[in-house]
Amino acid sequence: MSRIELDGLTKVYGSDVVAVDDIDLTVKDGEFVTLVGPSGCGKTTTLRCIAGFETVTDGRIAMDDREITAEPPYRRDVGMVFQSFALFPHMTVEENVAYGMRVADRDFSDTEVDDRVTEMLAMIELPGIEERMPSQLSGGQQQRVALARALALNPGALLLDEPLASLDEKLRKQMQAELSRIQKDLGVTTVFVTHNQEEAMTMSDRIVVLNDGEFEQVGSPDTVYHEPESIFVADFIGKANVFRGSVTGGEEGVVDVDTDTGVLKATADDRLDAGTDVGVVVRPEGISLERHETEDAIGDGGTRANVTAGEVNLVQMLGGTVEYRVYTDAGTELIVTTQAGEQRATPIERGDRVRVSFAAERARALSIESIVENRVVDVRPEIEAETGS
Amino acid sequence: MAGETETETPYTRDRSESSGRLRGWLNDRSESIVLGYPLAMLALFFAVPLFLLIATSFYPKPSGEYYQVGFTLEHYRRLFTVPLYFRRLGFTVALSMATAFGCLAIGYPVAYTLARMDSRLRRRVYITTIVSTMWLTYIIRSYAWTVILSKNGVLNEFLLTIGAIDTALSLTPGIWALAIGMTYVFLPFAILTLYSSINNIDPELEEASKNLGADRFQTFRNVTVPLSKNGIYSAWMLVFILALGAYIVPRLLGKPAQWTLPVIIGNQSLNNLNVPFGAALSIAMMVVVIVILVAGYELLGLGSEEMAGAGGGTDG
Ligand SMILES: Nc1ncnc2c1ncn2[C@@H]1O[C@H](COP(=O)(O)OP(=O)(O)OP(=O)(O)O)[C@@H](O)[C@H]1O
Ligand SMILES: [Mg+2]
Repeated sequence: MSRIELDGLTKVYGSDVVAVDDIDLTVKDGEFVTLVGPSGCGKTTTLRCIAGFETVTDGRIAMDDREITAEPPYRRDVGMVFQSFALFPHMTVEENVAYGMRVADRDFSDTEVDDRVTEMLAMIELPGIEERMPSQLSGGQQQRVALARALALNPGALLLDEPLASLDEKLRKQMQAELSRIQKDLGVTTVFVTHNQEEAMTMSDRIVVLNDGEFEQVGSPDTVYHEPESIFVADFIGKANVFRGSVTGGEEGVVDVDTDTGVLKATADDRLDAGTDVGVVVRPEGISLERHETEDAIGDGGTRANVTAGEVNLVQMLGGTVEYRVYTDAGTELIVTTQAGEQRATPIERGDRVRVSFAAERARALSIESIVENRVVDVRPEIEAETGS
Repeated sequence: MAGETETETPYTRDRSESSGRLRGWLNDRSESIVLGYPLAMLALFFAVPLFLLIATSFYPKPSGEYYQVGFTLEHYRRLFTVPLYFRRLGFTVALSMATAFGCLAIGYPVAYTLARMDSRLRRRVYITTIVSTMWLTYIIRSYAWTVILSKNGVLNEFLLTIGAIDTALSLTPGIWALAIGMTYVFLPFAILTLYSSINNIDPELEEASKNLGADRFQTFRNVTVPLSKNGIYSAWMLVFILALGAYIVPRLLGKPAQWTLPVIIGNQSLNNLNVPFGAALSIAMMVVVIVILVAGYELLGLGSEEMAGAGGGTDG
């Protein structure tokens, strides 16, 4: 298994389409790294550069300590699973899986090939389908065969381009687990591409959030979810409530932000000067709800930070959690989730008046650059419209 | 109000009933209508002429007339006893096969390049150029080659200038001129047929092959060619059939000894007024062609299920 190093990787299509812009990434031996990002952000391009299907415009690619930037695809030690699976339609499953061995410089004996094919089909839990044609397989089966084919030669790294995108919800969940299991069993270095953030969260050791050909953030699923470094990341990974405002003051990693909802206290990693435009990001599960029957001012006179009132617009049961949409008096819509088991004397229902509050530790102030604003519009137009500015 | 509804109701009912009756009539006969049209067209343009051709080949040929209705095996006896005709037939088939292979050899790389071209604009320009050569009549294009290949033509001048030859070659009419002319004339058909077949192959399949360690040649042999098998066969067959029927090109670029069967059929029918013998020659040619095509189809195992998706659209 190998380490993959991308060093200043840049790919420009034609003269002005910058698909990948100067990215640095080291995928450790045996690591599962996921590239996520909106459509057109350069995920496929990055993968195709690693596989050798694109000539890079600038930068270098290395596997272990071997530079492969200029190597043709057939001399790189990577296996790839395409989104379309790309199984050879004129070959049986066996011929597909054995293809790499058949074209290899090294001569594999027939028994060697047979054994390996049997072993691979056992690994994907589809023994005995050797003689079938790809057209006689279901989507999930084709997906597994494509995986077996990519892994048959024991490549140093595995590249997967949205392999689960064409599967239905249930099958996708199943294949996620399957894929994780096989990856862990073999310990193969894996770069996985998806635009499904949930898939990225559940499967990866590390997530790379790409936007417009550049990295927004690289980190563990946990870090990326709980400590997003930009509003884009907060918005793209999981659900997020964003309050726009500007910094009025603060101390010791906590800043005061003046927003439509009042003054909010939020944590901030960097020093944010007074007057900086920021977005205060709060995850839906970071907010708590209480019944609030009276029409008058909230709690202690409406001056306390991070508290506001509103009306419940929508209540949805989502498996283990309940999601509320709260329309606040300040005119924004918030998403709040609670554990379904959390018992209340009287359940909160649609139309109820509620008090909404969150701790400063659950809120993060992230500076808004003008470019980021536009990106937010691209991804979640409804949030942009709701939070206003 | 009431009056209106009363007058309207019977009218609507009447209309819906009559349209229902028409629909019923159509439904009952939909199958025969749907099948009837192509069958009628086939009969009109294929079966009837074929039948007439077969019938004519058995008509006696009195001197001074085209034919006389009757029955004789004389033409077939002549066909089988005079070796010239089978030799001509053999030559025609061989020339057409060679032309078809030549068109494949030249056409495949061109078609592949076209199909894998990034720029749509450039691709369109090339295809239009290729198609536009087909607008010119065979006569003009064959004459163009006569000019190029003639004793003081461009080719000879070029070869003389670079010192490759000492005296001008006499190429036209001749077998090389004929082969070049035939290949040139039918090349666009091969390119277009192959292009649409190769274009149907997902480039990701070739990438998958390379990803698995196959170099360019292995990928071409193991993936590209097998997946364009139908297109290759269609292109070959199309050129082969067109070449068999070629009349003008052999006539203009070949010596009389290299005239193909269609030229002889033309001479028989038009100069010797022997239409029945021309018909018999045509039938002999048709039988040979059908045998070759069916054998080829079976031999290559075409039309099998897994091939259907790849390049099946070009099945001619
Ligand atoms: N062959 C190409 N020629 C020109 N531009 C291209 C080409 N391939 C991709 N691009 C452009 O490069 C950018 C990145 O494309 P890429 O396919 O890597 O996106 P992606 O992140 O995989 O998106 P998706 O989630 O939709 O698959 C896009 O703007 C795209 O239009
Ligand atoms: Mg993509």
